[in-house]
Amino acid sequence: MRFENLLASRYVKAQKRQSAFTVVSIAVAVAVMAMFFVLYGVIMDNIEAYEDRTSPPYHLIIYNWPENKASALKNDPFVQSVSFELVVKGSLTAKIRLDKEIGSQYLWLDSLQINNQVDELDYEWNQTRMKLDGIGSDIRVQKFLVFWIVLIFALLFAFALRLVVDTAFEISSKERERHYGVLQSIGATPKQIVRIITRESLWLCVPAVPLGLVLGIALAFGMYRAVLGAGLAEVLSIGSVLNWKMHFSVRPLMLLVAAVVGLIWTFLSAYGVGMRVVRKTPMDAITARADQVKTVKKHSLSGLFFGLSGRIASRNARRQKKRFRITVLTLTVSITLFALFSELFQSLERFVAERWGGDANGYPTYSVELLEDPDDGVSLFDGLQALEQSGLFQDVRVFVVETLEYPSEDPDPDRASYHKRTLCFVNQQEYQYIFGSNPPVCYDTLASSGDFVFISPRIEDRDLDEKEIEHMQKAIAEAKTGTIVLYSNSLMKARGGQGQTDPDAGSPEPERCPHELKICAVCESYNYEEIRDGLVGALDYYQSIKEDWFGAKAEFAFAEMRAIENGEYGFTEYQQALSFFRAHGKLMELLEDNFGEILKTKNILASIRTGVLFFNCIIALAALINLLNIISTGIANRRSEMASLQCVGMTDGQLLRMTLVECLQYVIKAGVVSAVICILVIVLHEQLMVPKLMNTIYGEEWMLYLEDRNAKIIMDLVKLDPVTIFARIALASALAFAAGSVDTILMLHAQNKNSLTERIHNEA
Amino acid sequence: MELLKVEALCKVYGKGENEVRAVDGVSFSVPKGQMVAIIGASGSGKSTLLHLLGAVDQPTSGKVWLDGQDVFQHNKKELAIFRRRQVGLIYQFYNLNPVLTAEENIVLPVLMDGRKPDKAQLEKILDMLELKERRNHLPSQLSGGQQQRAAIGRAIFTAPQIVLADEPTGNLDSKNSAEIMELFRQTNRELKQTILMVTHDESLAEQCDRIIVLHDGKIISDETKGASKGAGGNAL
Ligand SMILES: Nc1ncnc2c1ncn2[C@@H]1O[C@H](COP(=O)(O)OP(=O)(O)OP(=O)(O)O)[C@@H](O)[C@H]1O
Ligand SMILES: [Mg+2]
Repeated sequence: MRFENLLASRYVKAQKRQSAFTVVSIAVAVAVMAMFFVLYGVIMDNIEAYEDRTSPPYHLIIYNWPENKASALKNDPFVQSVSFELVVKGSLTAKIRLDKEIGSQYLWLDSLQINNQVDELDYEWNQTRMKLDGIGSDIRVQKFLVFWIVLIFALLFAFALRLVVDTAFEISSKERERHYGVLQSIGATPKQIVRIITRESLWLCVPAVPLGLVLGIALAFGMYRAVLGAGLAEVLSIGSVLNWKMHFSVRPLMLLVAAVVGLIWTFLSAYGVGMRVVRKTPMDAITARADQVKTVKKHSLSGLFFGLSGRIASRNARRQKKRFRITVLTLTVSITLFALFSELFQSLERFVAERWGGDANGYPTYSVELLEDPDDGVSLFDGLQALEQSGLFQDVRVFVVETLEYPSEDPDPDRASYHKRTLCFVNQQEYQYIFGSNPPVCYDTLASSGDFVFISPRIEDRDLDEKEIEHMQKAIAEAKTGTIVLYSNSLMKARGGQGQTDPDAGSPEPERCPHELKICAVCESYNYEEIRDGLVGALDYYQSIKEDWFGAKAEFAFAEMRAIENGEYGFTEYQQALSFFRAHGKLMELLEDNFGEILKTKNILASIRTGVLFFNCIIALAALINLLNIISTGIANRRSEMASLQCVGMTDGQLLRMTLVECLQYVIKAGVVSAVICILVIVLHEQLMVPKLMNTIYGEEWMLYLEDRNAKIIMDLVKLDPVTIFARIALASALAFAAGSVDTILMLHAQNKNSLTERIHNEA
Repeated sequence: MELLKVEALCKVYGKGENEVRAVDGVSFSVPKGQMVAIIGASGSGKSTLLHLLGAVDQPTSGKVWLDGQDVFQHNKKELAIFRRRQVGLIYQFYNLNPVLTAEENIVLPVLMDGRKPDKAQLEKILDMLELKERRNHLPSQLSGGQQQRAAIGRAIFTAPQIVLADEPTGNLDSKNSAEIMELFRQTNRELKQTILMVTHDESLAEQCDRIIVLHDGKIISDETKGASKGAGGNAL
């Protein structure tokens, strides 16, 4: 044991750069994992905090609990506390907090019922609160499941990160394979060799894991800020809870998990590398036969372009085949992922912009339902007034729907609706919106006369049976005579919330009251979907007849309006509008707000973009770490070799060129392979995926639908543009080469500080 | 009693046009306590043969018995322990561990065995190899000859049954090499240690009990000096 420790610690200390690289790699992996876990904790904490705020504080509510058995409930061993409310005499509503030790809450409730001889228990579990407090049997199962699902996800995620750690060990062990071979040849057992490597990895974890954790928390905080900055939290919090703020917290357990996973991964990577090393015979390891140039190519491409420097460089690349491959592979993966990923994302962005972009720039519209409450004396006109006086909106369009009946001749209650006529009462703005600048009668006339405009149904568009068609035709003919008699219904009038007559037999025969409606115009066809085959009247007229015809409560009342145009419409303005709606919650309920939708879309896009950026950064980081490491170790390890070349007359310029050509080889190979992969992906995508997708959506003859707007959108969404992809590949390769070149120059510069003999002699 | 037995040992590098038969059907046996010199032109396969004997390389075909055991039948762990305790291997290119000091390199096989190195023994060897002042230096801070001496120290520190030395005196001056030879002969006598030594130096070879000459991977001559112990292997 002493000997393995000795060697491991020596390696860590002696090969500082190598160790630093490995530490950084482990730290990055741990950091990404820690970030993931911490963010998971933040999300869970926030959800819990949200639930804690919104969920009532009891676990179980029992309605109609007999008053004389209140003490039984109070003294139940599993009831922590209970509060009673007297509803009707003799009957209580009990809000119960349960004890953690309850076990199965269902069994408990059953026995409660039996013990107290309550026949029919009316109750409701508050699952959210139970989950928060960890009470009940299925909650545990749920918690367990969530834990495992997250764990599996995390492991998959962590698995990807193992690659980073793996590469680090692969590269550093490659340098030392010879040493391990010698150790084996003088009698180290395979176990001992593996132990040296794993021991070293654990040494490296000592600084790497804490560093990674700190970095991970920082990253998580950054992501959290980014998400907040993108406004996602605000969007999520709009609605039920006012002023609810997300908070950042770090769960120690999450850090522990990240640290443990990091340790395990590092250990496994080291172990894997160790096993690979001991599989070779000592001599193979010592001479690194696999890494030797086996055949000498007389003419290489690099030689052609770069002369002697290029020739040596290309031999070097072939000598370190495995390292070369690892580096090219990671570079390729990064470049390919970057190119494809950002391309796909751009399609997505284009797609979203096309779908919603049009509205995104205009002023937002809101639509509300105007509420009425006869008991509170709230009418829809109060809401309308509030909207108009708020100074926040313009062009408020109001639209009230009521129904009147023909006396039913049809005994089938299912068909009752066909014997109704829809009446729409609109204000001037809505009237203008419906008929444009050329209305059949002017609004003021309509309002003062109390007439109606009849919108005749387009019978041919509808799927009606003969009887109904006959009925409609009759209605049209009737409308053309100028008067229709319709009946209001006393049941409907008294609906107070239920807008329907009760078709059940046994209910009292409704009292019907006839109204004579004057039709001043009949419009044959027009495009306002909601009131086809209905009657349009003026809102002002409605106000005067409402109580008499329909009772205190309108069937449906909507208002739609645009925001006041005053400079750019932003989040503050939006918040203002929202708080107006909240403040007037009694008068109206927000149904649709397209700004919120746009905001959500924008924020989701922003979050995706952050995610993509982040993802790209991670893969770029992994690739860069590897590239820089292989270049610097390559230079450091061939220090003496390069010095020998310089001794026999190689100039600094030639040396630089040689190493740059090496770097270029990595990048070009990776770029070319990426391009090939991308071409394959594009071809595959175009020839197989797109047709398949279109086939599933549009069927066999999807080709015929290509001109269709939706088809176009879909095609656009899944389109991969080869030109931009290749541009991206070129860009990524150029960046990689730039980074590599800087590294090369710095390394060579540092090395040239030492004298030649020093470098030749100093092999370690 | 023979300690080492080699039968039809072959090592072939490459394929087809590039095929090199570095060791080509070599058979011989060495009795315990014999000191054997292996000589031959550069590239004749001496190092390769030695590596095969030390079981640090895999032969293409053939067998090696050390102390009655077929070395290539062992699993890796058994082989490692066997090498650690019974074989001392001195490489042509030293192969010291660059992160360990000269002293640590020497005691390494004992450390691997989980034992404490014998202090007196260490002092004696350091003294003999004239490495006392350099004991705490890393290999990169040692001269070629010093590195070679450290490598020798590592091979003989555990007093193995057999020492396989690949040009152990290649980097040493004549005085130094004479001392190393004396050291070898001494351990050979005292511990009945078997020594196989590759050398270019005719005079050193002359001091051995037996001289095997390799040419193109084959034994072309194998002479045992009648003057010393009678036991000796026969040439093919
Ligand atoms: N990995 C290898 N691949 C191909 N051929 C090899 C390899 N290693 C050695 N050889 C060849 O095997 C032959 C024997 O090599 P070896 O190192 O045993 O020679 P040697 O007798 O020790 O020479 P020297 O006295 O110069 O050290 C040589 O011709 C060499 O070219
Ligand atoms: Mg040799």
